[in-house]
Amino acid sequence: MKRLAALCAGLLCACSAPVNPALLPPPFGPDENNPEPPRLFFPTGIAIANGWVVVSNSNADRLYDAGATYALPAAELLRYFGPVSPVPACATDPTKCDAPFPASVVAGATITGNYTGPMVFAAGPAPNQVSLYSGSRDSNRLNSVALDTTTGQLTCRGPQRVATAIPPDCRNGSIDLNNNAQVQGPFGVAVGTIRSPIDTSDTPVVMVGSLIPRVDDVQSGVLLTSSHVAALDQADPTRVLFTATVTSRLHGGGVGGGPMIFDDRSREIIIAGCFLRFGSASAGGEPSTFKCGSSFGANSLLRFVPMDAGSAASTRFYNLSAQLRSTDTTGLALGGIDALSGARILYMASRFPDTVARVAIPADPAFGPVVSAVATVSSQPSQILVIQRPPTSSGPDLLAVTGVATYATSTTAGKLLLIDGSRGMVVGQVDGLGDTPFAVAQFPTKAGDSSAQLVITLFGSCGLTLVDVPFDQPANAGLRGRIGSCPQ
Amino acid sequence: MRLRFLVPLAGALACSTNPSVFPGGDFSGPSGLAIAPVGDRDFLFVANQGANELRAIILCNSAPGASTTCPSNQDGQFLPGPIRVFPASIIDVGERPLRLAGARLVDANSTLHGAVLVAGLDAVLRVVDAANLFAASENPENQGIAKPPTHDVTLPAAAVDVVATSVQGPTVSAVVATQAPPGGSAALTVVSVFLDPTTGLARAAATQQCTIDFVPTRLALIPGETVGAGDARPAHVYVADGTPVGTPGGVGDGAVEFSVPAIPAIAPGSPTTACTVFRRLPASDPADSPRRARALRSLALSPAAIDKAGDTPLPAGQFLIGVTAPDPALCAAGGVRACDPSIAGPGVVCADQGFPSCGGGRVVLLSNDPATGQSALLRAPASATGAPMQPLLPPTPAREVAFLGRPTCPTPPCTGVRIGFNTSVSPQVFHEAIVGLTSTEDGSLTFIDVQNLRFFDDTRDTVGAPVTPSFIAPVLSPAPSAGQAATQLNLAPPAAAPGTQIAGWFNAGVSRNATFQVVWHAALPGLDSVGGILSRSGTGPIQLTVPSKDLTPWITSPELQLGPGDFVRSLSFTTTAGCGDLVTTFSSPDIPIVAVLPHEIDLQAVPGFDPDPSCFASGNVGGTFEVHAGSTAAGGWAVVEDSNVLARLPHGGQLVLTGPRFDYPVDPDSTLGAANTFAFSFSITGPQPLVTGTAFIGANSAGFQTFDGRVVSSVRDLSSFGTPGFAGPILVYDSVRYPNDQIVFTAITGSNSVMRSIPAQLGVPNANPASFFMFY
Repeated sequence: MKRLAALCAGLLCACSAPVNPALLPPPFGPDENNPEPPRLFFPTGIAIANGWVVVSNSNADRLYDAGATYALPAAELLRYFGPVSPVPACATDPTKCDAPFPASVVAGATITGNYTGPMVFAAGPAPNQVSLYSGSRDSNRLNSVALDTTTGQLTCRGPQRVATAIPPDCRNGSIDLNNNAQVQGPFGVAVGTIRSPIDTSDTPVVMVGSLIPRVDDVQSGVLLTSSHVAALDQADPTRVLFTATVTSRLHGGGVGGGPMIFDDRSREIIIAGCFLRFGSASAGGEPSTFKCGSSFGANSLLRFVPMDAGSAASTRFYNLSAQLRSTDTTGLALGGIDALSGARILYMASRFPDTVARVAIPADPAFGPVVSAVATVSSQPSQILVIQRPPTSSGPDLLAVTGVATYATSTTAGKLLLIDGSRGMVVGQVDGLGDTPFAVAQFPTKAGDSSAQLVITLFGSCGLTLVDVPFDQPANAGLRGRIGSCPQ
Repeated sequence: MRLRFLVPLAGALACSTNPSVFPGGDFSGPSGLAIAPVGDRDFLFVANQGANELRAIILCNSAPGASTTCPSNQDGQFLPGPIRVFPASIIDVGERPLRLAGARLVDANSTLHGAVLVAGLDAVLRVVDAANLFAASENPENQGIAKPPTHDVTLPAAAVDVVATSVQGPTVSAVVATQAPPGGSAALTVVSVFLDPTTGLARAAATQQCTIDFVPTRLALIPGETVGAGDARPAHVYVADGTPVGTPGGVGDGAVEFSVPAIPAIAPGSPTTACTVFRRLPASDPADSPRRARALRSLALSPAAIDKAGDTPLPAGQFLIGVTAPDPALCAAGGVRACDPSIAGPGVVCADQGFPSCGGGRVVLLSNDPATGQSALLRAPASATGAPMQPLLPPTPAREVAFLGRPTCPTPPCTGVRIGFNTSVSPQVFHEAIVGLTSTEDGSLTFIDVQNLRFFDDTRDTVGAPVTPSFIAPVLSPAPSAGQAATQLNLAPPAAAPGTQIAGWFNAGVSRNATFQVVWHAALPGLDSVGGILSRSGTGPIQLTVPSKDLTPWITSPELQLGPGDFVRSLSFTTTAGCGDLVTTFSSPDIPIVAVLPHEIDLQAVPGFDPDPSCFASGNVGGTFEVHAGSTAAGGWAVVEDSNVLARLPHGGQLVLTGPRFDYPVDPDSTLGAANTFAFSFSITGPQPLVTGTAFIGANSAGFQTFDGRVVSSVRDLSSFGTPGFAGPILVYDSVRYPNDQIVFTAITGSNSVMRSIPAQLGVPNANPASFFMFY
């Protein structure tokens, strides 16, 4: 008997290997005993909620084992806007905009997954809390972070052991969307209210779309794929309410999607962008995922998924290729209702060629979406934000579009393009944002405000850029600050 | 003295460090084009909006055989920067330079000393002195010195467009249109461009200004027109009115001609007053019912020219060509219409195809006589009633317009375009007094036969083949079983009425390229998965309540007509049912709809779907259903064109599709009835399909196609680089170096390139210069 115990102990010893040290992101590591102060590293998603600016770091170079989400007091960034007159030096000379990342004021931080995309937020779960959601494409997990709107502290949504763990690691509280909802490479994320057939009342949900097509079958070396959107309960974001099929081998070519928005009028998810799996190219043994480019007919394919239909939802497809010659849609945003025609306005940012299009979704359901205006832009557009005007004021839709400007091998000349949505023309442009601007968020407006105050994540510059956009004079938009930088 | 001013320009060039755009191109969203002459060179300036700079291309302009300082190895090359292998980046031209105008200034030595006016996103009109720029480029060692003070013109607001007269002289006039500032009005500003007597540099000053009460989108001058009597200002400026949702014949319709001399002089300290001397040129058709205003987003005036025989002069400004802006009301303007009494009858359903691109990108042609103040849409060529012509629509929507044409040349005819160079076995050069040009969304430059009010056509105009619409016969899918008679889609037989003489009632210029599906018992769009709560009282109908969805648009839609007689198929049931009657299966019976309310669909029980009321005791039994068109009076067939359901059609009925005329590609033939708008007509006969979703589709595609039969003449970069498209401004260039040909430059904004083409030489081997060239 003793021999048996000794044998087991020996086998256990033989099987155990030294565990690699965890390289946690700042401010939790990489040396847990002597952690670095927080800094931005490949920030992507951003949200402004109840006086806090929350940023997700995507850890795109895998320098650490995970990404991180930070909460900063909005006031810390708002102070850069200051008075309009005299014109701040930063507005005319971007080199005077640079400021270090204010690590000391980071009020909350959590460990989240890698490769996060856009971030959205919704109220709850507690009255003084806001939840923030983003997808991690490598681990197929939804990061769910709770922000204490009083203190700015971030905690992980999930069981008590996860919410109270130190350091807070939200990867533990999330669920694997691939195994539980067939969603691979979660990227597009939206919040909204739906009523699935089982419900007698509306349910607040988080909706997550897959960028990576799921391989359903392989026939003669050909991958047969599908993509899905999952609806998760906002009250418990580890609970999948249902999964709806967006594309399949028979419909939509099984492609994955990129940008995604929720139309609360029709209660439909709208998905654009196109990604394919390639069996002939692999990444770590997995078939790789590529953008469709111009070689596939789904590059301007809009997908409408009625979420009230639950898992039985049937996707409607509208191919805008004949109307919109661009081949890679990167951003979507919903505008208002056209007073004349009753059409819902949808804005699309697309590349190759670089355009921002206004699409009318007619009120008569017999008619499909129609591209009503196209503005050619000079930078590869990424994300779109429809700028909110102050209460009681009105005006045409003013769009803020982040643009990647590529010169030779440099991507540092990022831009913010300001577009009059109703006229379909560029009315302002802010240069010198930094490297590869991605998401835009707007600080809340109040009556009497003359300009919109925007904050933009700079994926390549490890920072945030602040831009002031006069509502009536968008041509006079200017930089107000560039916060943070990558380590040299 | 001169060199002192060249040094700062060299500095500006030295600061021009913007490198080329990956993957090696020199343009980033090129838009505005302008020519500025300097001695025996012309400089083609290109607004490189993406890099906040200009590029310049050298064009030697000396006559053949004449001595010149412009070596041939510079001809067609970029103006070099300090590092000679890189093109000069002309910076400090403001944010996003978009519109350019060239000023043909002449210095005291009667030497051409050109300048270019730059309008961008800010309220400043900038002046770039081309002569000094060139001199600085020639002396690259003079770099790093501060640039001179600029002499830019402050504008009331951001500029919309700028144009300058083509008349050369010591002073050149230009006109700028500016946007309406917040709470203000758009304005026109007359600018005088001249050479500063002290510095010798070009500068500009605003001299006249007035406000306008509409949204200006583009400007145009009559080429060569001046006030006269020693006044070199243009007599008129034309402004495209882009005001959305305009009034027919009023604001938002067409263009407006303003008298330049009548624009009030700027009085410092006084408010700008409204322009008072103007004339509106409506682009709408008074014969339309209802008449709709046509806002314009681009326009051009015809130049002076001579006819093809070379003996009859054509005065400048006789024609105006414009491009319509999208009209939101036309985005979904198609669908079911009341049939004309001549074709109405039992089972006949009429529908209209509507306007592609919300009516935007169409080309209107107007006659114009500034002297008498008369202008109007040109008359349709085959119209017995004298109705105005409908706008022309290129294969892809138009973006910008211009004219070929000139009054003199060494060997008339002076204007030509070689048609069919790429597609026809016998290309031919057509000589016309003027030729219309339009750049289009796919990156093409397309040629308009103004005389015949249509596009040039590679096939019709070279081999004489008529433009004949056609279609590819559809197949029925799924095919009927062996021995079972097939349902048939039959083209409407020829009839006597105008526009119906051809089977299918195809009409050239109306029938268009489209893809159709005709689907039996089709799922209604937007109702292909409807989830709701189920309930039932006794043996009555089963109620599907959809509280979150308003079914009114489907009920009231003339194209969909959701109502009793349509049917649903179940997709799923929730697991909350209190009985086994509601089980999700792979196949559902067709469940007839007996009533439809805005938030409720009442379903008739049928075998396979007859749940006991006790099933619903829990109150939260849900189901998801697919709603299909049934064999009702509305029709069991759905006719789908591209993404739009145009109509439902009863089995055995006839669909008559009409559409807006978009071209006049056949020679006038009154027997065909040019005024008709029949596009396509068919009926469906034979046995009704047995399978829901049975459809007439194409043999190799989702739908079967109709074709307009046109091979519209155009030129574009067919390589993969040119695929993106979105062509922009057009510049027609005359040079004594190439006296027999007009050269056309087109900014291809979407593919970061500039296209140079010589329409009369297209496809001619070994043409000098090459008849087609792309600057990337």
